[in-house]
Amino acid sequence: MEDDTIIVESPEEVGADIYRRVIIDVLSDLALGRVILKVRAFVDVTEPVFIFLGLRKKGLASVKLSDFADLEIGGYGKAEVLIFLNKEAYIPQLLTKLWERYGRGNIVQDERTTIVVETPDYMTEVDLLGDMVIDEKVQEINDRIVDAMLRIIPEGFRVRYHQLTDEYILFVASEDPIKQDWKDRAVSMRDSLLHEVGLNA
Amino acid sequence: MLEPMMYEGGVYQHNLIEELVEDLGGYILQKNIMQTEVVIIMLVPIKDTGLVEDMTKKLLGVLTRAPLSGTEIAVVAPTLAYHHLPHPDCDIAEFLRRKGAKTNMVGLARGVGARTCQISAHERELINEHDVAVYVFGNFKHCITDSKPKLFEGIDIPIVVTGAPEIDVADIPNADVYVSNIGRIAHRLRKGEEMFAMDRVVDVVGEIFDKEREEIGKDLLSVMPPRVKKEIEDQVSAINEVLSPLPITLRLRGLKVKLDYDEFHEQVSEVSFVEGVKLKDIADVRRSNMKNFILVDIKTKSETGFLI
Repeated sequence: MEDDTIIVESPEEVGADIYRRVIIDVLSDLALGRVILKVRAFVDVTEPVFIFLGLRKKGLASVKLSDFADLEIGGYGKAEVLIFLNKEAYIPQLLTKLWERYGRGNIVQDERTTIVVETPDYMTEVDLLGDMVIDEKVQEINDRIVDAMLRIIPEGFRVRYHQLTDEYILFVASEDPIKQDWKDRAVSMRDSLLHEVGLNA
Repeated sequence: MLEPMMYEGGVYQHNLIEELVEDLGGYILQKNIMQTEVVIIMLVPIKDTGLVEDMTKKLLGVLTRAPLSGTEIAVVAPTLAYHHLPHPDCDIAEFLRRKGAKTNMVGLARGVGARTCQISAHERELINEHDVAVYVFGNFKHCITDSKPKLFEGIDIPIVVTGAPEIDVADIPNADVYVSNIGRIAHRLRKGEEMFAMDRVVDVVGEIFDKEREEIGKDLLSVMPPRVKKEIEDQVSAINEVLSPLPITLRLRGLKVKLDYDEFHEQVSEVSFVEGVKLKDIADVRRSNMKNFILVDIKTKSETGFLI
């Protein structure tokens, strides 16, 4: 069975084959193999244009504070929120966010797994803190995807058009202003790929 | 006639090799000590190579021919971005160095793009200071045959081009040799065909040098570059304090002295030989585009009228 995960089309067959290899190398370097499910690319250096389309895997939830910690209001008469951490992995990101919001002086971490936030609005803040997004997986992966794009597209192609959604990433690059034809081609590639996997654009 | 050779072995007693080569009238071009290993690139009189081989056996070293010794090669990439580096440019340069060449990597400022690529006068002059330029290009035939030859304009030295597709060299204007199978590669080159392709680059560069040496044979240089190197080392003491790995780099028709031009060019011009001539009589001493170094271009016998 032919592998249809990554398909590169080009008027030049050798170029397409090697480009496929470049895409595999870059995606594996940036550990995106599990994030990008299918790739379709089109290169024509005579135009010149490069179209890249990647189908993304869904379901990368962001990590909220309540996912790895229990929250409580402080004892009677104390205007504070107590955070009991079950996992230490996110402490650096959490502290940065707390410092930003409440100021360094209002965050006390006497113990490794307990953080005290001093705030007069502790009744409302406790719910707000529970929903606070600590680790934005999607954001980090988006950054990596964009990085991969910049590595994959030919270096001289500095004029770019892109669409980045939860379902796909679409890039059209050239060294001349992007033509409507190329965009249309990219969109039809996108639609047929989404159709292939049973999604609607 | 001198034979370029490379000795690899342990540090212990490696000075015996050096002394032997110097006694035989050969030259040590470069010595790299890496912990307990040493690599010496040298020129040995061709009739005495047997003696050096015997000594190598005694020291349990390995002696190989290093056909690219005494040459300086420019490995040119359209830019120094991660599209080209570290693979395959560094790997190609590495293969050339293994055969004794000195390589410099030249990343052009605006070498990218099909329509937009260009080369500046400064870059051109810099590349022309080398013996051969190896241009490392990409995956598409159209790019290599139609767009990139702009980057060869004004380059007077032989040009080797690498790229992925099979192309007849006649289709690439101004290129001398084309080597296929090395295009844009984003992983380390270690597969069979990639290694073969790099060996091929080394071979074609070697062939170019053989031809060049033949040309030089028709009208000999007034003095051999390694001899000038030795005299400069003896007479310009500042060279011993230069920390570059190769303070004096040999080229086919001259050398590059890694000292500041303004401060030292007179001293270098005044270097004298036992025959009674000075370097300025038999060579042009000029400013290099690379870090204000000194370039020495040795004149041929037809220009000076004598050989030393």
